[in-house]
Amino acid sequence: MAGLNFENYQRNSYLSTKGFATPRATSTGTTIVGCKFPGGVVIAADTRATSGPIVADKNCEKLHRLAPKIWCAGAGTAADTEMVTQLIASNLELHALSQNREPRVITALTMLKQHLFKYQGHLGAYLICAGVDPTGAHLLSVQAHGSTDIGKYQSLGSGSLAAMAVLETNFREDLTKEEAIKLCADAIEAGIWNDLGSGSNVDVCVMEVGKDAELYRNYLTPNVRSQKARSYKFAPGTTAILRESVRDILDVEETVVSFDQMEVDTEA
Amino acid sequence: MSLRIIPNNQQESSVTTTKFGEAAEHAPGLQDILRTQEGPLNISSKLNNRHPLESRITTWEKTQEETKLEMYRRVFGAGEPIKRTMELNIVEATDFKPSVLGGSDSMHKDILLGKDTSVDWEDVYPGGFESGNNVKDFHTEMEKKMGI
Repeated sequence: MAGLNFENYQRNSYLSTKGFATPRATSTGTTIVGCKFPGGVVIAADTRATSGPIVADKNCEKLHRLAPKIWCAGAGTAADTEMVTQLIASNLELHALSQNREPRVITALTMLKQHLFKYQGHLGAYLICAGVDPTGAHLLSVQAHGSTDIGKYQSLGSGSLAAMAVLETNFREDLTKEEAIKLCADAIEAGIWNDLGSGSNVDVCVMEVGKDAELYRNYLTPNVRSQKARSYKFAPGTTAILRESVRDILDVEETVVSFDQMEVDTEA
Repeated sequence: MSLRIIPNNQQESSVTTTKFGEAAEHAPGLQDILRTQEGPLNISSKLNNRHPLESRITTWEKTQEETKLEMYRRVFGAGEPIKRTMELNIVEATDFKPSVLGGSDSMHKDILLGKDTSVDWEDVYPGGFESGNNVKDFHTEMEKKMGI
């Protein structure tokens, strides 16, 4: 069957009754935030991807590009956010080319919400979608079931409460670009320290009206692994050799074959 | 006629033995299990315990199209949906390329349906011969098309 395939559903439900449950999908746990400032919008995300209780990726990228000036932070199932974002990015580009206009954030949002609604929340993609377009700067969010929100500051993911606490305390209408970046980075850090599903580093993306978008990958790295106290390399000769035996598996025979004269068929 | 956004959640109340496959010429009451290479058909597995999304997704596009045509009928008159459906049927009747060679090109259909500037999962996972699925061989397709 074309498109997303449901053929294995019955087999999987049967297997789970026999004790072979489906493996836990890699989730992004996550803290993602977005914040508007006069003249633009900033989004930020942490970089930890979890698979149950295990960290699957210590430095994953949660900021996806929908268009050169429209970026999207994704929480939820990692594969779903990645694939849905790429699909909608392709659709957005085709749409912008056929309309001969710069893509708009509300277009991306509408495509995302209609797609996610069609799949009734089974595509676990919770996205904060932000960008600049000919109508200005926008900050919007989509939930997996297809509902959307508009706001001046947003947070999503398991660390959203920690991040929202920081945003609610420090958000002002008249932030400068640097203050907005600092606010978002602080909010993500609150998620990194206080939420188990978020961790590692902070990625930031700034989209300003009239300028190119700037992505700061690993803008903050508060979780660098410290240097080990000792060197654990073993000096050569640490392990004593008790016995050595060499066994020839093949008999190697070398002969020299000369190719002085090539036999060429010279008949016409 | 209704204007639906979401497909009707229909569970069939009755099915025939040939609903889930082509009838075999040698046994017209059953599907052709030799051609499909999937073995004897378990009709209850085709009806029960299916993923809740499956019927929604398979009938989604058709429902959207029907709603669109119904809206055109109400706004522009009965001629609009009839003309559009006729154009689609003409394309379907005249386009032919064997499934083993990839199936017919969807360009004309895409333009008529307004999908020429969008991609969906059907384009990412085409599910035809290249994906390793068992498609009808050329002879069967031609026989069906010619009505032999």
